[in-house]
Amino acid sequence: MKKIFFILALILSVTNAFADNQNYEGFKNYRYNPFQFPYPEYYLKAEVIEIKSLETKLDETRTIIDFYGLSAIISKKWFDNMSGENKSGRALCYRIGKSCKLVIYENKEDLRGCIAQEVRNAERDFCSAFSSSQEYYDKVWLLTPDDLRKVEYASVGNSWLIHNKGILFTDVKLLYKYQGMNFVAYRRDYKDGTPGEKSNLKTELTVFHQKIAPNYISIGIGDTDDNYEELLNEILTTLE
Amino acid sequence: MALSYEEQLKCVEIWNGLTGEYSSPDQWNDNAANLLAEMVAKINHCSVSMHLVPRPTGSRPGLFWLLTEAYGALKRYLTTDNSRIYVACRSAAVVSYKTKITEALQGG
Repeated sequence: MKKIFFILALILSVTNAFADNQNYEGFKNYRYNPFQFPYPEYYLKAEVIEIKSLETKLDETRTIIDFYGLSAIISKKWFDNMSGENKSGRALCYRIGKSCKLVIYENKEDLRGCIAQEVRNAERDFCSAFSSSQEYYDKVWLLTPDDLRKVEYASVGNSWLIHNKGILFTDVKLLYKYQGMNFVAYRRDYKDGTPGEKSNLKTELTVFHQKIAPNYISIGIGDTDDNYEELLNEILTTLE
Repeated sequence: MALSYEEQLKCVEIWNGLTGEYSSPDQWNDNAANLLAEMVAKINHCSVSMHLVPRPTGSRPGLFWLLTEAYGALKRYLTTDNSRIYVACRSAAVVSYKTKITEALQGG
């Protein structure tokens, strides 16, 4: 019996040592080849959904919210104060009680940090993979490592965009791309109860609307007792 | 742990340096600062081969690491040689954390 335990322990220790060595080798090789895509988030791909605008009429149950040149009609039931706060001057916040449940802010087009010539020179591969922030989002939401084998996507720049998915989507469970009449929006839903997670965000929407191009809007929805899917749907179908 | 005014100022500087966004020191609470620490740690991890900032010493990067070790290195790189921050890494980390931190800056 003792012999069996000894042999089992020996096998386990050898296996562990081999696994550690593999991890070490993988880490060492990472310096020379960062384009290793072992985690599931690299393979997350957005479901593409077409949005048909609804002609929602204002009544006593609905209200218009205006944000950075855009507007949407939503139900009054969502928040305590429908006018939204803009204390910081940088972001609109709609609250339930003290909690900010809907946050909206505008992003200035900066080509994801590549707007400065010296940055473009320093990181030509990454910066040459997209010509706008919308193209960056589109590729990161839709491309996977499998696409890098296709001639049209086989570039180091696109490999960097796939690499970005490893940072962007570790705590994300689902991706969507919404195609509206005058806008494209990219949504990510966060995993529930991610260990160490310090944010209440359930879902996040980035909207590229022709009306405010090249700038774009980010919308974050925090945890609510109600169904945030319905709020998101109201925003998407009435966005102008 | 409530942040001191000096620590809040450091968060303002780091946030502005990485995103170009302005914030006021009194907006910075523990929650927002912890998310900022996570964001900086992701940039660090992504840029590991370039050794831009010291790695977190514990298992999880926290406020102490952000406000001591990472702050000094980041400030140096952001003010003297911005090109040494890996834009491919910074861009992804900003897209990943900007809304979470913006929400936290509104008081969560």
